[in-house]
Amino acid sequence: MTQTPGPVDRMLAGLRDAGYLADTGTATVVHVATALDKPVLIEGPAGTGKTQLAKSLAIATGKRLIRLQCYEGLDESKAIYEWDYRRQLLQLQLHRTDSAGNLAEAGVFGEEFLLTRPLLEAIRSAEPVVLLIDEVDRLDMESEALLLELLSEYQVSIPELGTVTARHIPQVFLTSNNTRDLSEALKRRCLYLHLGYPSVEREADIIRLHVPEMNEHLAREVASLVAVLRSMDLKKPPSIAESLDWARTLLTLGADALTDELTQQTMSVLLKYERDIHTALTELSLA
Amino acid sequence: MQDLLGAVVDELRSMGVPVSIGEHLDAARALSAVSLQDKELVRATLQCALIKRAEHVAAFNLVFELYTAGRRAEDGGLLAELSDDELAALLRAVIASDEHALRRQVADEYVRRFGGLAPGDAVAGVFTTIAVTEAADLAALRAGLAAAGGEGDGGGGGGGTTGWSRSALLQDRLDRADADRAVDRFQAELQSAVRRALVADRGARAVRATMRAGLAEHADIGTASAAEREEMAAAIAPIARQLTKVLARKSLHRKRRLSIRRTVRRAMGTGGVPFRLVTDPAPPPRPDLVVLADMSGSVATFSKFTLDLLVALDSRLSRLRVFSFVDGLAEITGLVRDARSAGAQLLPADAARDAIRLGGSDYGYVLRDFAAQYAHQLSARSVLLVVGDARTNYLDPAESSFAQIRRRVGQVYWLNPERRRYWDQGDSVMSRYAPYCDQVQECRTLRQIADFVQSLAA
Repeated sequence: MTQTPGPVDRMLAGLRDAGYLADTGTATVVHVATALDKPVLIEGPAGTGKTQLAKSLAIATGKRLIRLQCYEGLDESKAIYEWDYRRQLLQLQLHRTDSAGNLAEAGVFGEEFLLTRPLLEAIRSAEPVVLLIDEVDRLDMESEALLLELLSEYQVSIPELGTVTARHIPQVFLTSNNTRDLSEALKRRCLYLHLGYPSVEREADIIRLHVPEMNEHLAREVASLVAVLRSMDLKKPPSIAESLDWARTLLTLGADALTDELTQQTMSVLLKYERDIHTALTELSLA
Repeated sequence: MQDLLGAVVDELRSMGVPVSIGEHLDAARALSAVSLQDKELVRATLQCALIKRAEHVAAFNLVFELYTAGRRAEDGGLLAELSDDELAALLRAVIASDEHALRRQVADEYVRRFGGLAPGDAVAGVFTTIAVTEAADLAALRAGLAAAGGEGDGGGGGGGTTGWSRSALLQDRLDRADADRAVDRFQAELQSAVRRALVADRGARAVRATMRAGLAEHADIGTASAAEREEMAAAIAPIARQLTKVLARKSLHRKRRLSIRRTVRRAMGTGGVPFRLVTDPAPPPRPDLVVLADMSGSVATFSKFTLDLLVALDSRLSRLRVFSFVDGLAEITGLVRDARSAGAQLLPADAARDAIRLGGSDYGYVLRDFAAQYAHQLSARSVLLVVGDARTNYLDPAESSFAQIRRRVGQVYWLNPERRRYWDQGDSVMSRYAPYCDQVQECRTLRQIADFVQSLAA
């Protein structure tokens, strides 16, 4: 098994150098997406490293990251492009004297009047980029259609200007917290990656990577306790970022093993709802 | 490899997982990008191209495992020479270790020894799994591991932990969690060993056919197994969120917003002077939802599900009214709200308490009562959702009252938890109510409910 490292191993190593400990499945999907020029749709609970994966890949490959944060009501003019109407109006004022009133003559639909938004920027970029479309499930059903042309053809059609095709095909990541079903049309165009919470072993490794001062034994205990918490019926289970925060907290307090008092006092770093803290402490018989 | 892909796709489709031709082609192309030697890489590659929903991943993994189960050594290899006790000792040694390959061999050996599989038997391996689990004595292993974990930690960590009071309770809990994980992992290993044995005997397709492997989203809510119900409970939250979103369409832009872009475009025709302002179309007003939920015995399991869904709806949704009925009518909006804020469940028995006069559903009485008491509170913005099987116990269905209600409200949807083919059989009068509904929907499965909510959103 110890031949030259395959492309997936190189991907794993690259992501690791960028501070992201992926499992083999994740690295495979990212590798396949790169090889096939397909977008990746990443789904999973909050705080499992969906957004971070795109960021880390950008770091690992040295590409620029362009990010589009989705929200309800996002439209074309905020996601793709908008005409700079102030300049257009000025231009028209200059041409008023001709009184022809013809759009083409006034020349107000040139590229210089275009305000690029993230999606068009990713397409027109001179160097290759990583495009992150974050929380795509927050979009309305109708706005989802904005993305389809971009995702399958890597081009944007502007009625007044024509079609803009990508110079370099961007590496596209879409993330979703699965608050609603995305349309089949969108899913068909993407590869799918489900990111769940990491196994105890991997989470311990993640903690050791980001908090290297922590000893191995404590890192494992932290990961193990966080896993126990996640198996409880909580409103908001702790995310990876929160378990890292907790690990740092413990380190600051100079702990080298988990104790009752310490866990009890620092539980608020992991859990953000009073009810959750109460549930957790009761179940761990600390309350 | 393409044969494997074709077989997996066929099998997935027959299980109800939709795989488009495009996705099939993507998978084929994707395979050329990875090394085919490594099974895990192939699995991840096929999964990301073929499967687009988290709920389908388990089904895919099962199919992939069946179709890639290799031949196993018939004689059991070296492990066959161990005595039963030695095998048990080996299991204790590897269960919590990183020796994946060895653990797998041990699982295979357990199945070979204790599985009692006869060649050619058309079985799904349920009894084999039970027998093997018993032989491996997982309960004792679990206890043993938890105890051993405590000792190991006490010895290992004892040196450096002076000054910190080691908590017995917390440590116990962590050890137990570790033990549980190790045992669960081995149990899964045993199950796949059983499947490997079956596949080696009869081939993947035959094994899949004998397994009652379906998707939880297609399972009948009324007759679902405990495991399926658990999976459904997890799926309720997204559906509830979406339903909330559909109904709570924010009145954020109730005023029509000026569309600068379109105004400018129009102004082009008049030399840049905006003679007319153009606004974006106003969003439709948000509806009030009125739910009439049947709590009678004939749909008991389903009403539990309905209540869970209603309780899970977001508290933002102020314009929701819920009525339960059997042969009487009771408003339970308050009960639903209380259960929601307490984070508790609302049981059908509680919801139905004030809705029962004699027992046995009576749609006619309920509809007459509803029309008389509440019809005047309904408006064209109201959406009426009736959840029930339309079984009236041969009593008068009172369509005229339903028609009267229909005239007051904007839309009427009827969700029937019964299979369509049983409608209008016996005392079901679905077709007499159907003309007054915008949509009558069979809602036996999660998928059907999710599709219904989706259709509301569109």
